[in-house]
Amino acid sequence: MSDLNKLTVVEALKGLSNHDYSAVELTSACLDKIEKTEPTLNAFVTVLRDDALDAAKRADQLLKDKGSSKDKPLLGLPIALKDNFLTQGQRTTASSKVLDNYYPQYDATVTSKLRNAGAVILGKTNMDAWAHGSSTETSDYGPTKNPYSSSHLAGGSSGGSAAAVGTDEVIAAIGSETAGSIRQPASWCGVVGMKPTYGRVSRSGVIAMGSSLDSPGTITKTVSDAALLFSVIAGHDPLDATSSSSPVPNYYANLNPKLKGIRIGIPKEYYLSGAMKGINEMVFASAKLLEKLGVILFDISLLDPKYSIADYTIIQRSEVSSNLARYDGIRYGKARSFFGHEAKRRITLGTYALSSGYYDAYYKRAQQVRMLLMRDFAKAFAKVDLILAPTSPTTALKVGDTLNKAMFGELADVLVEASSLVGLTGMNLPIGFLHGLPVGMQLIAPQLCEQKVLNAAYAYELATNWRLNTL
Amino acid sequence: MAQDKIQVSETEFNQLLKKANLTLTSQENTQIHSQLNEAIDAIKVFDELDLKDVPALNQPIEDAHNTWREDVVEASLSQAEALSQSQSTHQGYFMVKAIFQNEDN
Repeated sequence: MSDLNKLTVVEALKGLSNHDYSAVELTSACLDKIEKTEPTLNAFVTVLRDDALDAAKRADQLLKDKGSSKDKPLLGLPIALKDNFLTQGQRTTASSKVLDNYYPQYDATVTSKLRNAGAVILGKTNMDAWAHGSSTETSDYGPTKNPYSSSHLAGGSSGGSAAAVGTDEVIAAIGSETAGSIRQPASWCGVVGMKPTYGRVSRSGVIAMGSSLDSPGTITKTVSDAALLFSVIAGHDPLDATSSSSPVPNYYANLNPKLKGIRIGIPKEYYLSGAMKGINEMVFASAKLLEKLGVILFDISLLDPKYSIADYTIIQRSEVSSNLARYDGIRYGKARSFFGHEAKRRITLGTYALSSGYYDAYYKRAQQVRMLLMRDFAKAFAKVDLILAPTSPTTALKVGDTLNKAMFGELADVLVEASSLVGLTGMNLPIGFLHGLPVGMQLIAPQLCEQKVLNAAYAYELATNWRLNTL
Repeated sequence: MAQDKIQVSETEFNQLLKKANLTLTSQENTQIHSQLNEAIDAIKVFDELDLKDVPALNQPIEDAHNTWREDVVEASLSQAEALSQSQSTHQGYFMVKAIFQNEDN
């Protein structure tokens, strides 16, 4: 078995372009690793072996005939998609038995963009069913394990994508975040997870969870990889009425690790006294390292994240109850009786919050609290360029620890909900290990300031190297 | 508006399930009903905030507005494609449960 699966996006594209190896060899290395690792890891719902090898062969033909094409920037690159991204003719389940037999009639916009860029789709990764969770334990296809411990979880809801990247089953993966679903599993799995500004990447063809929150993004081994992939998937889409018309920069070409004068805020409310011992200390140490690289640190204050737990719970579950109303087994999928417990839990609260007599007390008040959060961040970003905090108050939890709780997902995502509710961009960066499990920190920036996040993260990555590959 | 611990009654819970088009087993009913009450109780924290005169923010977009396209016919799914994932079709239609009956049915 070759080691080509361990490459990064930047390395793989360079090697393919130089004809150091073929797309088929690269894809086969990933498929071999997937075959070896999946019995324990369970990162995939569907492995698209034949389709992937066919796509790789077509990529090799193009690489042979024309060299790497400028209009196919990902030619031959093997990646995975979270199983809430529609893939035409290829099973898409959102990790729910309701969609166990669903073969979409069209691609998500992100899927099309990746295919048009020449990427090879290896398969569809496991997730919390309907993206309802922060562990991948609510998947109807079993939980995904952590790359560093098979008795621990990968996080969620993009746990499959994060674990697949963390174990080098894939070169990179696509995830989605409603609140935390990219950043948190990236933190638990020790990989880079980039959540874009709401509207920066099209939601068309992504199975909807919270329509005012859902943000497709990238899960990669390095920051450079995130920057490169981001430029491919970002951009205005007429099929998504909330997608941003702002031009997409070349994030990769614009990477600049010079941090002198960049102001980073440290919000005391996000360094929880109840966080796992060691996490806050590690993030503070990373802040000090950034200071040595030229950053100016500021103590700032943000609204207590406890308000965002309640806020996100109401808004998200209300939108979930509406979005999941379409699954009636008539046009596609199976009956609503196939919904899992978590989906039923969330639909119930959402329906309650939107009901006549309760709408004002719950949903409307939650949207007012959301406005307070927006104003709070605006005040903070008048003083600083970026905000730095731990991504998760814990490292990966054990398999079984997250089941059947009233609000596990929302409580676990306490540190990422506010920034999601306000549509900000944020990234998880791996910063080391605690008791053998990865720890991550997050950098948050105002809307459409992805380059600021990428630059600071890139500088940090160049100065450190926490990515271990023990598998 | 301060609220005592809210308890959704059994009648109200069953009405909710009907609105949500959900059927629960008796074990699920007990568990999810109790968890609903727990989640509602957690929302009390809003009472600590001053929301007077604060407008609602439904989407985190500054200039959220209706987005239109030109009224021009564009390529779309064929009827066959649209029907292809249904488990029950009839002569180009999705089959659904009868809503009412007339003399012909």
